[in-house]
Amino acid sequence: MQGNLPPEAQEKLEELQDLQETAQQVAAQKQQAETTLRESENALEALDDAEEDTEIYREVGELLVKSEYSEAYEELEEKVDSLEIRVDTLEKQEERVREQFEELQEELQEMLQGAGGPGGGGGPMGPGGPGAGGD
Amino acid sequence: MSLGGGGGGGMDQLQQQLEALEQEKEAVEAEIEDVQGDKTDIDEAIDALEMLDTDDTVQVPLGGGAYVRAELESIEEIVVSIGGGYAAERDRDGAIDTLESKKDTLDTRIEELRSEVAEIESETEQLEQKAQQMQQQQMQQMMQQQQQMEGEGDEE
Repeated sequence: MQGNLPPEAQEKLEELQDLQETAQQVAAQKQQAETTLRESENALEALDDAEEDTEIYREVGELLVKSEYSEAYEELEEKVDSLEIRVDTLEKQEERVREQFEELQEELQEMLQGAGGPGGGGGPMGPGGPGAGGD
Repeated sequence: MSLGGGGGGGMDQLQQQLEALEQEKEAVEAEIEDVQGDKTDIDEAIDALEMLDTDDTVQVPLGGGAYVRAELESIEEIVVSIGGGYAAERDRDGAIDTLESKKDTLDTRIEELRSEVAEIESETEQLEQKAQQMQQQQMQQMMQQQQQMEGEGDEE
């Protein structure tokens, strides 16, 4: 089908496909960041429930290295803060990509209709694609 | 992605999309299996914690099927991973609680993954219907063309 498209439309279609790929990558990164965030929040909760003289260890590969409650708490708090920022940034990026995708999709459909080409029908798969969102 | 009408190209593209969805579904299902494996590991750890007592003799695996005998100094000093790269010492009940809450987290993840599978399946169904419609359209077009050609042949 792509071979029958005018070169300009072909170019836009390729851009759309690239955007779709970007959207999937961003969604995967966001999901990863959300998972790590949730894990770190749970770890903080676990520390909240524990006494301050609890023996704490840092996991280094298979090894457990003795650490301190306060050090672990501080590090986990910092981790949660930075992960919240990361998730927020990725959400904004996701939104930007979605807007770009929709604009481009509209342009392409107009281009095809203007050229008397086949009607848009069901548009391209959304930028998120199946399972890309994850939430 | 369907931008064109009923050409064979559109059909190819639908086929590609269906294959991509199938691959995606397989990947999500594999992840569900991994998570279920993690849950089984946790269950085994909980069983061990419930079964063992201080001063029990155990055989500690060294790998390669080799074990060394050891005596448990205290069942009330269990180091359990709490996530985020840290582990904390808990008493037996505390360790079991931590492990149970990990299992809850894994259950939530399994539910999320299952709903992803359901989403992929419904998308697959829609695409399959579309493919079927496209095929029917092509068949009708072919039949019309054939009838037209036969009609023209009769006129001659």
